[in-house]
Amino acid sequence: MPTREAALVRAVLDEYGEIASRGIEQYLDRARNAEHLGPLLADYPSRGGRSLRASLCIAAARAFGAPLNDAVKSAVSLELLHNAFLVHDDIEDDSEERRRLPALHVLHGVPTALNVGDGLAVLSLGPLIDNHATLGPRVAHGVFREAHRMAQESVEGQALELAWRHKNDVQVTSEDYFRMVLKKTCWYTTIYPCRVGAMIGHRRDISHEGFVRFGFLLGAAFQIQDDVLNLAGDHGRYGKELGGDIREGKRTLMLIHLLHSAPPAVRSELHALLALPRRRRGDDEVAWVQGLMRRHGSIEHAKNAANQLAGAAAFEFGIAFREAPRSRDRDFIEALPHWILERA
Amino acid sequence: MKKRSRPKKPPPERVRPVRDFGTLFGEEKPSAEEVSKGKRAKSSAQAPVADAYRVIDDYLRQGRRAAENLWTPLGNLAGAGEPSLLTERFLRGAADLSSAWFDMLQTLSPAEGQRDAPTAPGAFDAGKRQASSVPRKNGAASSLHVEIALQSVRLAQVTVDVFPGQHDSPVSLSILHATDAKTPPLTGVEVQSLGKASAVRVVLRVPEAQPPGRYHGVLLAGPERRPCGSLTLELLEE
Repeated sequence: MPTREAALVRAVLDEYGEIASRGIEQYLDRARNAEHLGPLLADYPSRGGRSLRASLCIAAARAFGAPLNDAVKSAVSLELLHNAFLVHDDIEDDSEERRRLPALHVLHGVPTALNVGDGLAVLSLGPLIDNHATLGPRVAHGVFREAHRMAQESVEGQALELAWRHKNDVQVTSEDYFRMVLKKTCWYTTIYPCRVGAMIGHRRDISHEGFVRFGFLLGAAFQIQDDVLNLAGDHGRYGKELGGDIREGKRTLMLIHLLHSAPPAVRSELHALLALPRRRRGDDEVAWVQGLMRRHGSIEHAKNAANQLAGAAAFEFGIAFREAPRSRDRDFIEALPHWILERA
Repeated sequence: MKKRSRPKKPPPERVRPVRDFGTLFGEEKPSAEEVSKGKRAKSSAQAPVADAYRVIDDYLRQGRRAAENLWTPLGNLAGAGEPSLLTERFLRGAADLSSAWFDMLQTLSPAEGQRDAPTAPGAFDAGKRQASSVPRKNGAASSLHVEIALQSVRLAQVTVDVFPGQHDSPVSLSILHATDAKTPPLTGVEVQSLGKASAVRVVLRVPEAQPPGRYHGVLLAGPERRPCGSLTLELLEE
């Protein structure tokens, strides 16, 4: 990725991330005095992160002509909901780390962490209500409707993934995987920020399917790259335990590829391994699966898929954002497919 | 004499440029397994993209089908066993049809008082001006016609949204509240009838001292003051 584009993505993420963080703090302040809850609500948001979702939302709105302030509350709401999802995801996945620190349920126990996740989800409604003052009732209502759909799609996607693990489903195909990723990851990471941003910029409802296509392909590339980094990334920068997805039995594109390309005897062993409780899949088992993935080309397959999907996203960008005039924000969004592939 | 065959160029491998998004970020790398077998990774790498497009196309198709079913005035009659459901669908269909008819007439014949007036909200120069405009409408299912008469020294933009449904009661407008609670509301609002309940002119008189910003009001129908639309006035900085 050319240095200029990489620098632009970093600069915009820093700038809009900072704006979103300040907005988040305002809402956290309102709950600061809640006994046994206030400080815990601030834990995950204070651990940093790239604020990709918030930045994409603000950039999309500005690309279509909205003033900065019009999109901030929607971006803040999304980041709060994202943190709520993270708390609950960590419990559901039994993850040990989040952003290089112990996960919330590891620090405070599952019941407290569940309540903190609920608290963050409730807190995320505040900015959507406050949107009425900034955007007026019609656009604010439209954003709220989009948020409702996004949340619904996300939990449906999470349900699919949990069910595959719970039933130890080894018949999952890559189409099933994309259906799950569309709902679980893409809607709230990329589709919703683009659609809401465009809605705020245009000041009308968005029926344009281009944002769904672009958001889906970008989000799918993002998720696959994330899964690759979980196996082969830099722990310090990735922020979670490496190999965690194998330990958790997650149906990643790599695991699905392996399950479909390994000989029957190996597949049976894998099936048996995935049926074990998480704590029984230790370092040796993770290393064995990683070795199999390397031998069968599953990691290269996923990297190539992410590459291709990012290329497809770049293609769809031209359609979705054809009405947006050239601007720094438009350039930022255009550079995202490249950036997704190159993040460590 | 033996006829010699004329030498010909072999047919080209391709006759058009390769404009494949799959190669946008360069050639994909072969997997380890494929390297060992001496094969390229192209087919396996493109399969996920094809799968992804199939999934999103199917998803969007389902969405379109759901939207069409919602829109179809009488919907799927075979599936509607309940007489009350049939009646509701019939009424909704009739309402849609009459609204569409009204919209068509409105498009063909602009309302009285609108013909000589500028129609672009926000296009007012500084200095006292009076203008009227046809609002943007929320969907095609509304028959309320609203004209705007704006008196303002500031550049301004007015957006009116009429909620879907039939409007046959007298319409009023609440005062316009600023988004900033400290800013005084705009009270110079008046609704004039244009001869029938479903056609009104909203007069907005903006005092010179009114601070710039966004002001929102609600259009209210009938004595029960049922919300039937919203109006947003944006006073721009000089």
